[in-house]
Amino acid sequence: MAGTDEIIGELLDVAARRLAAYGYLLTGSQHAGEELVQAAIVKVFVRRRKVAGVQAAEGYVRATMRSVHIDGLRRERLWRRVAPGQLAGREPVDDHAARIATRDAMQRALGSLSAQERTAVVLRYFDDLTVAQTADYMGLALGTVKRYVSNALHKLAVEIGDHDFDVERVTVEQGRE
Amino acid sequence: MDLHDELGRFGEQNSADAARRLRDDSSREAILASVTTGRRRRRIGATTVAAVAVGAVAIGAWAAAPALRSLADGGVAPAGRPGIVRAGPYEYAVSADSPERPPQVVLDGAAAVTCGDTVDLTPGVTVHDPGALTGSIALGAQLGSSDDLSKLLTADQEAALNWDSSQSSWGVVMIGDELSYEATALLLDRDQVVGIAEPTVGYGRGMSRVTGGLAVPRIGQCEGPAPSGKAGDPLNTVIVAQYWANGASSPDERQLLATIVVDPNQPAVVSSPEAEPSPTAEPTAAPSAGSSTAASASESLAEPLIALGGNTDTTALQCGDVWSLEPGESTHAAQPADVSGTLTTEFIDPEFQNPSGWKVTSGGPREAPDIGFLEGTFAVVDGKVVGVGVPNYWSLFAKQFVLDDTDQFNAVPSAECGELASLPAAGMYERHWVVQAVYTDGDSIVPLKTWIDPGGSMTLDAS
Repeated sequence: MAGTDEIIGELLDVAARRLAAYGYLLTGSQHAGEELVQAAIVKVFVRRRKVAGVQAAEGYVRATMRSVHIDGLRRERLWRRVAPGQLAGREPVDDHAARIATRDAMQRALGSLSAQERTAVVLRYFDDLTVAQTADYMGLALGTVKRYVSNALHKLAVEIGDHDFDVERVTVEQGRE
Repeated sequence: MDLHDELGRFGEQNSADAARRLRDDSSREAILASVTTGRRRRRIGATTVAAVAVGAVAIGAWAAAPALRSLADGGVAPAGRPGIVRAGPYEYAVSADSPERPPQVVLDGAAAVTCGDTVDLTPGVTVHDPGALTGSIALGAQLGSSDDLSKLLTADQEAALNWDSSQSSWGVVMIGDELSYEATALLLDRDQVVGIAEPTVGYGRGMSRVTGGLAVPRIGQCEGPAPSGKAGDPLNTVIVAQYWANGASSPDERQLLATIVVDPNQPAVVSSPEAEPSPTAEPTAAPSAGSSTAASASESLAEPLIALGGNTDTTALQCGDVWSLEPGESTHAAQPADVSGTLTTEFIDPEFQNPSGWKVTSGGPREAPDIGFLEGTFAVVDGKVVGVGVPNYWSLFAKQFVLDDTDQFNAVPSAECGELASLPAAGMYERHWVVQAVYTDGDSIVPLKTWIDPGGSMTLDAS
């Protein structure tokens, strides 16, 4: 456990900020993002895999955060399908920190996205995955991801008031890959 | 605006507090503790899966070899493959008459028995803590032909067990309530340990059963890979099974409750079924403990009277509806898997906060589709539903569909009439449980089996 102890410590020293930011982007909540980071670190290191340094560990943890988050979305979808009338209290709740902070346009813009749209945007434009890779990770059809991304970009443009995103705009009709 | 950079800036800007908390010593310690616990569970879980798979076989072989049971009646060993030594069956259970004294050996922790130790083991049950008396502890063991068992094993399982099918092997079944288990076979040279079998390890929530096979160890099989050569003399082995209370993660912090030692040189021991639980039977909870076992007999197929999912033709119960469901178990489809369950209710405290537990005690084929379970709780006053608990859902995936999967759910509805609310005001409530096994067929959720009030409804005084 000594090696694991050291590498986790170093990982948190070096990469906590980046991982927390990634968790926040995925979940939209500081606390949920923080829990996501912790869950991913535990998941990575419970398996006695050989991790060749902190950079590799960060890569593993980021990939695991992505998987854990998307698994959560899937479970949520299943819940909605299985128990549509019983979801009271299961909706994500904004954490206190998020509520009291003064947020900028990006905050409002991301807040306007559904969980799936938000995840698609983060995977596509923050992780720089292709649409196909994003669809693969999210377990969705290519067209569905394109629709999520297109809708999300439209909402972001409306909220931020900046239609000049430096992105490869993807629409349902004109998807480019 | 570069969206990648903007997202990065935004993420970091809004997660500074989270990053600081992650770097705290407390977070670091919590993560490390979770990793340690996870590794331990992973180790136990992996062993348990193997043990369960073999255990199912062991029980089957046990039942299929009634000739072995003739030993219990003073009969002679049946004819079979030369060299196979048979003994047992042995069935032991902790009772108020069981002697209480410190353990003669321990199987786990810093003082765990190892080769070279001198031991003095008394066959039968020894209690080390009064908690053993309420743990429904029992053991079944039998020495016989692993050839019989291996007929029912897959090649992978056989390979994993590294059994020599021409040699005798032990089958063990450990039963208890909210316990962790470990059993091994010690090979003895007089009183000295000269070999230790790969143990069967497991844990259970509520009433549980861990089954496994123990190969007779080779001389010098102590740690690491077993040495080459033949297994030791089966009659020089003893089975040592130990039972711990759940709760502590460190081996040395666990409370050892009881030890059961089986000596194949002793006559077979079969408990009176009226007096003690049979390891070959489905475990049943002590009536006084407030537990019960769902009916396990298969029934004719019936239309579901309730659908917890609420997306089928059958409407889920809502607040204001009349509660008219009769307790019992009904099967709606015979395929793709057969499941049965046990509800334990002894952990509900007067504040109604503690969860109860539902345990799947048997399952279908491992290649069955994903099976899901829905659990609902209903509060009823004067025959009408006044509270509907937010149902819990969990699923068993095909590759992980093994025995003894357990889940917990809130014993008392945490919602009233579909909206989250504080617990019901003081008063008398009937509480009812419904558990439904479902599987997915395309977009449909298909009920497989329903248990209504499997533990019996219960009236609670919330005042």
